[in-house]
Amino acid sequence: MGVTDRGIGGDREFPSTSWSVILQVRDPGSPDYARHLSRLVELYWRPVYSVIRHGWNKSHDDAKDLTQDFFATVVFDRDLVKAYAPERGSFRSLVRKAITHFMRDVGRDADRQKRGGGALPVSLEKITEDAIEAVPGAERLTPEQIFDVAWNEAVMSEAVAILEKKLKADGKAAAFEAFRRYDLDGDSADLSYAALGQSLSMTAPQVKHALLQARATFREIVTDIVRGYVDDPADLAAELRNLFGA
Amino acid sequence: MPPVSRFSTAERLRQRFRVEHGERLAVRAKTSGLVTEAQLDEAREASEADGRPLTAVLLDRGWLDATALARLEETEAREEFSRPSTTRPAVLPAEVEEAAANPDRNLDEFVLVAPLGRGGAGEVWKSWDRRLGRWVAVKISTASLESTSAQQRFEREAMATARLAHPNIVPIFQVGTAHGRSFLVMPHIDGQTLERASLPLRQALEVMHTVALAVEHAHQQGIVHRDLKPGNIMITPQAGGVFVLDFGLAYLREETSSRLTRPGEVVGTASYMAPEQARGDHTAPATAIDVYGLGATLYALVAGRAPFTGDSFAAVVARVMTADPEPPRRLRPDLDARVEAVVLKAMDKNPRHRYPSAAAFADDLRRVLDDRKVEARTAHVQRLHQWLRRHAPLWAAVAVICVALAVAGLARFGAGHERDAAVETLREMARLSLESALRLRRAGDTVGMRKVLPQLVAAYQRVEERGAASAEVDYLMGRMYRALLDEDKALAHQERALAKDATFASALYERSVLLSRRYGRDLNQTIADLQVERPKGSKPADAETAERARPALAQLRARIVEDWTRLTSLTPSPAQTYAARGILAFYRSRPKEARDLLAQAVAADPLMEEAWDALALAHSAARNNAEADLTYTRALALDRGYAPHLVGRCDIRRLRGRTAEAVADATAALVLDPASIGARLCRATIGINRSHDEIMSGADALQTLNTADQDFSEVLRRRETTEALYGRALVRRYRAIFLDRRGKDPLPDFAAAEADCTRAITLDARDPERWSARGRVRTRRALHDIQNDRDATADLDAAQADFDEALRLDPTRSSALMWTADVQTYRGLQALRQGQPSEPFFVAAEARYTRAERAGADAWLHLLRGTMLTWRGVATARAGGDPLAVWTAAEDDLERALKAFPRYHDSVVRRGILRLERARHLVRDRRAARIAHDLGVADLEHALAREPDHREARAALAIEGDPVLSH
Repeated sequence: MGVTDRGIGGDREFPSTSWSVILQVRDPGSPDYARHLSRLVELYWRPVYSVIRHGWNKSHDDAKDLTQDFFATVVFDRDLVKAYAPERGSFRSLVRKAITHFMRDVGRDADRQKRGGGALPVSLEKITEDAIEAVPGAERLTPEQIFDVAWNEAVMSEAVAILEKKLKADGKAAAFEAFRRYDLDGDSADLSYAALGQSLSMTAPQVKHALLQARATFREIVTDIVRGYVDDPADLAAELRNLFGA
Repeated sequence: MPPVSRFSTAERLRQRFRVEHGERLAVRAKTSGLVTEAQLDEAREASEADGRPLTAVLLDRGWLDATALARLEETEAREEFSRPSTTRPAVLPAEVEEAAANPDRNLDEFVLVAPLGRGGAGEVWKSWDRRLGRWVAVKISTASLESTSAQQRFEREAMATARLAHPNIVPIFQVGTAHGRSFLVMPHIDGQTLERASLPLRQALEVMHTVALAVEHAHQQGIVHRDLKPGNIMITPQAGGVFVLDFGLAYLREETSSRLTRPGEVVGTASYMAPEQARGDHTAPATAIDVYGLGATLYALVAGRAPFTGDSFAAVVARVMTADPEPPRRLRPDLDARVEAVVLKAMDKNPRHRYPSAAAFADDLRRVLDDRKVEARTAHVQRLHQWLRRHAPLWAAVAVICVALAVAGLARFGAGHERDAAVETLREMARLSLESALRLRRAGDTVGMRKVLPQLVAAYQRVEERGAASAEVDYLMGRMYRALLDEDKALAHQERALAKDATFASALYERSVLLSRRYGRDLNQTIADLQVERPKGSKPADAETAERARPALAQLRARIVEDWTRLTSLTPSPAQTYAARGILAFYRSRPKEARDLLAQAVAADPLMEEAWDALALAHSAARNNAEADLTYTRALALDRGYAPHLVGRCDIRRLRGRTAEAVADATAALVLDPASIGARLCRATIGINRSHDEIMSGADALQTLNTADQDFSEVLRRRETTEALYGRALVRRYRAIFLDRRGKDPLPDFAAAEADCTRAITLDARDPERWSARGRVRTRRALHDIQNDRDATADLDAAQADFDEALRLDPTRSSALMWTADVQTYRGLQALRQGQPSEPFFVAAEARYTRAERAGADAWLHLLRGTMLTWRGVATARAGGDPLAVWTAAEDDLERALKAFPRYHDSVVRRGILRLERARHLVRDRRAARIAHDLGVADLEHALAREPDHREARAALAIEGDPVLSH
């Protein structure tokens, strides 16, 4: 609807990566371009890594190098960003296709030359194998499925991080705690509102209310993130279906 | 404690929100009336039992179909897309803080920040929703709904509206009661109502089309608006941002209107009320009220005022019930007659004669927008038919019979007073014939008009043979010929009339008009000639210099002034005085003075076509083409068969960029006057520009090109001018290029274009444009030959000679410089294909492109230079060098061309070819080659999707194996 405030141009903490914004940044030398792209790498290196690591059965070191290479060549050489046209669907699906393409080339060209790694604004060197969790059941999934699982995980993790920050900033640390106990930790089945309320000095209805509020906020944060990489409501609907759909 | 798996957490969150997402959509489905409460309850039970989302259950049971679900998802997404970001710092806007401090401004969780308006139903406030942190509009009822039943009804109506899930209907978020007053919460839309907006016609039609579809949607749900008017439709700057406000609030208005203290508002509403509403008649279907409202709103948008006005509520209501609305075209003569027809049909007093539904209204608007015939009968077609039925046969027949009788009388009575009586009869009949002829023309029946003439001419000749034609008969004949656009014969008759009676004012006026027009034509021709001859940098020619250069012009003007001076002493009609002075002032380049005089002339006598014509031209000369357009339109409303008005308007519309309408005018003019050179030139000129655009954007330009060719040929058959030759040469070159692009034989067209240019050069060898034109034909043919492996040296040499001549005539022409660069480029290409050294040619080409660029050549240069650099890179690569730097420059040029002409995909094709060449070169770096190759193929496929027969793109794709795989 044409509601006044579309939140464009405001100081949004997240997400800053609206693709139309990136596309407008024509000059790769501009600080905005670098900022948007480094944000992109920060957010989505894990899905890229995961799909390379598990979808193509690469060793940790190779997967790390290839991830680096993927961002350096495909994304930073601007070919991907240039190829992105909103009518072709969301950026997620484009990245997914680009990885497939990239990996096919890599397979064909075993003695490819490694590109210089210094081009990336975010160093992936600090990544160790332990820091990266394997996509569960990866061996049964297609590379596309692995990518989607990892992408969804990246979105959810980011949303949880933002939720924590926001609720704490709003003085609602208890609401986050309720959310963490009920929705993040896996053992909420036998946890009653009253029991949790005791540890948080809240009544059961207060716990219930706080939890509802945290969930509503969480959902909005997720859609905020997704909104950042789609260009119109139709794409948003498709992405939400991908994330939550039946 | 082991670390919690990120993936299982994410999956758990997804599961939870998957269920929640389903729940949200299911509730939405229920409020939209797609599923029932009972179905929802049953589905909920099933969902709780097996953990599936509610929507999955609803789909499974067949209570909800996938399309409906997709629509719900989209509505949901649209709201989600536009709501403010949650992650923004939660700071209240300053104006909210301020308002919140006032207890009266707090209504539940809403802070009433600023009043937006007051209507019959209540007052509307821009408000802040504290809970959701967003702007909303809160509408507070002015009535206090004390009784429970009234309250219930209010809520029921509001809930009915809330069911309307439609992107163009403002939804109701919430219904509430506080302090004994009911209120509604709606999204706050930052737009303006149509009351305040002034829309261009096309946009107004688009908006009303959207509104009608929204209204139709509501009708399908059984909800009638009952108060459609400009004030209830809001538009926002975003595309498609059209919203119908206040759906389902009619009850609220009825409840409160009796107590209103602001009569002006009721009056405003009354003028959009359907007559049956005003009468309190409830027998007609309620949807017809909305169809009427749509029509009345459209009326206001196109006519600029409400359909009915009056000093009081009662006066307006009386008119709504009894009077016909003034046809919008009377208020706005340039309005498309079809729009008027649609408005009047929708506003028919009898609901049964209106459109049967809002959708039917929308359909007819769509037809207008697509320039098709509408269902509604246009008012003027109806009027014209009536008029012709009543008058046309009568006038034509009466005139013809009377003239025949008079001639017979003359023959019988050879001399004496009987002869005088017969001559007198003839004079009367001539007058009648002229009048009937003009009437027929004004009604648009030029065929009928022409039928009158031969009879009159025959009668005139008999009278003239007996030496009995009076000055008045000659005058009438002359006027008749002017009506038929034969100004030479017209002038001859007026000269004869004046020879018989030198003080005949009307004949003198006619002569001064005819001479003025001749003066104007000669003057323009002289100025055009001087323009060609004048040295660079000198002052452009004007009337003064033209008269100095051609004394005959000055003499002609002296004659006109003399006629006019004599005319003033003969007490002509005021209209004639204004017109004669105004026409002369116009040709003497005093458009302001001309404008005022001519406006007075047409005010005094609206049937003077010569004054209208000059008035329009004076507006145009004063750079007010919109007014000129309108002037012609007004003139045409009075005189539908006068082709020169259509030609004039065609020209003006061409200048205004309204090409489709201009072409329609030219075509209509040619129906009225097939000999019109102006109409053909105007249409052909538009055709040239249109065909260029069609060719470059991949459309089929053949039709446009053929019509333009025919038009120019027809003009040339009548009068050989360099303009027409040059124009036809251009058309033929374009057609050759078009055929060549599509892989068809362009050679006959190249030859014909070359011949036209050569002929134009023999007629006027001083114009560098003609030389350039021939050089362009030859250069382009050379390219065709080179690409077909024929030697093109002769054409390239000849083209070079043509450009040299153009540059000799005008050394500052950056375009000619650019074209000579092309010659070098093609020489290079030829050498490259023949395996000869090509580098020197490319170097020479680049130097010239660069000089042309500095001299201000347009962005087209980038396409040419980018192409040249691509080839140059290929040459470098073949010679074993590194072409990458050259190709980078080439790509840069092509990108700039693409930016300058985003719709012309030749730049994309050339870029595709460049990328493929690069891929071929990069075989050792397979990945880079792969990327270049894929991007190149994508470019070519993109172009082919738009123009499947693009020869160059097809050829490039066909020869392209897979450079990576083939190594």
